Amino acid sequence: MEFVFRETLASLHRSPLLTGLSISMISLALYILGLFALTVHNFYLVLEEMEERVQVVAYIRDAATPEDIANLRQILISAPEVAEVTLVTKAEALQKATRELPEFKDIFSNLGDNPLPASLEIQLRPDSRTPERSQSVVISISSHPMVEGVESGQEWVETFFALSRIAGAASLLFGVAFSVASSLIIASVVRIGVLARRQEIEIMQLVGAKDRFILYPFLAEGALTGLTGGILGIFLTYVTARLMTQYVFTVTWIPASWILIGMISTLTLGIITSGVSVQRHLKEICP
Amino acid sequence: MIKFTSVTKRYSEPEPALKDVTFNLEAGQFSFMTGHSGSGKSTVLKLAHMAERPTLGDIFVNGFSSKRTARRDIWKLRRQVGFIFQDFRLLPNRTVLENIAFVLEVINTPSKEIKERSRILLNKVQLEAKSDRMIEDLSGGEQQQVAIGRALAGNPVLLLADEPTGNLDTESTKNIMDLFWSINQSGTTVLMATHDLNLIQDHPQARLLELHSGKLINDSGIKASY
Repeated sequence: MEFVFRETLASLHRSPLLTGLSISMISLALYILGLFALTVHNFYLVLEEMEERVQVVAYIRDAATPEDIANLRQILISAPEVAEVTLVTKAEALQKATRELPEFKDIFSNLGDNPLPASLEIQLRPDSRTPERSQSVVISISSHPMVEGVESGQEWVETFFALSRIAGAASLLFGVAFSVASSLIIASVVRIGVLARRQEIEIMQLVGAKDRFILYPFLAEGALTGLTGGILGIFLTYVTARLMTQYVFTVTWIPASWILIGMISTLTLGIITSGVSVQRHLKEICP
Repeated sequence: MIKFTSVTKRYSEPEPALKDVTFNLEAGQFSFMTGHSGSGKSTVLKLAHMAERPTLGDIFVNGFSSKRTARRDIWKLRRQVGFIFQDFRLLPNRTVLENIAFVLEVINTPSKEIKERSRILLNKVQLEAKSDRMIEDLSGGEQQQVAIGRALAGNPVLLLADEPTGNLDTESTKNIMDLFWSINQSGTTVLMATHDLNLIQDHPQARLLELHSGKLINDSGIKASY
């Protein structure tokens, strides 16, 4: 074990250029992947925020009594698609209109009767925020005698879901492409490192080293290079996120689980590529 | 020590590199193996070191059979055999001492003995004074001395040398040959591939194996044991 540690550190120290190049390439590969993850994560946060706006509004006839409204509300709350129902009274509707449309303030203040209807704002459960399920809520309440009209923004919901699907497919496609490209870069860099020390492997085998004795320092080196490159790549992504938040717009940092996956991947890839390359050399030297 | 029985080695070329080669090298012998480039000298050494396996026939090296020794057990043979190359194949970014110590470490020598044994080996190859020099600062002859020291690290019973004087001047060649003879005198079997006829003529005591186009065309038999 002592030999493995000593050889690993000595080897990294002996070829600083190659070590530096390997770590830089791995960190660059992970930086690109990190930037992509950052973009996808923030894009999905925006989508989530937009998704929360998917709601159905039922306008209530002026003739409806408080009991009718309470009854209608009860029917809606018991529906499986509905998460929350908020009553907006006629007075609240007018207040809201005055607040949101200040240019019509004079008209609103000179009205004799409040023409705006009371309404029930229906928030859907997260799994029911689809065009089909919001439409089913609309159908179920449209026929209610106390409902004057229903607004669901169906067109917007459909556009939003089309956008979500495109974003999902694009991030999956680019995610796979970036991951494959990064993996290839990391694997190539580690292989070059092993290739540069082919003679060392040959000499070790020549003088009677067991395969695992040759292999372990390379595995440790692959792991260390992969891990260092990974940490550096994530650090660069973090600095970029901070700078963007400071100078451009607020960027939310990626979840810890994503970072963990990135680190484990570079570590594993470093070890596996080192192992495979060394094994291949060993078999070439001594079939 | 080395027994080749009807050994044929075929690579991708239509003509085999070795054709039906049979010889038996006794323990303690010093043998030259000669022949033109491509005659099969290096192939014989690679086979004896089990870096290659024969296509036909069988090879025994100090009790290890090429047919029955598994790849995972070859290290056991390698620790009994020293191998020397024409191009030395030393680790360039290490000192003379580190090149020797590295091998001792590989063969599981206890840490506290490594330095002392490295010094003894360097003394044997007359390079103790240059133990802290980097390999690239040495002359060709000195580098070959280090390579010999490295090959001796595991106290081998057999020393295989592939054109060890091929890159050296006359003076260095003489020093290296003296070193080989003294190693042989201490009981180590030596098989040296060379195409240097002057070297062979200067050492008529040694056994001579001559290869031509993969065939053993001349075996002078046991002439002397040092």
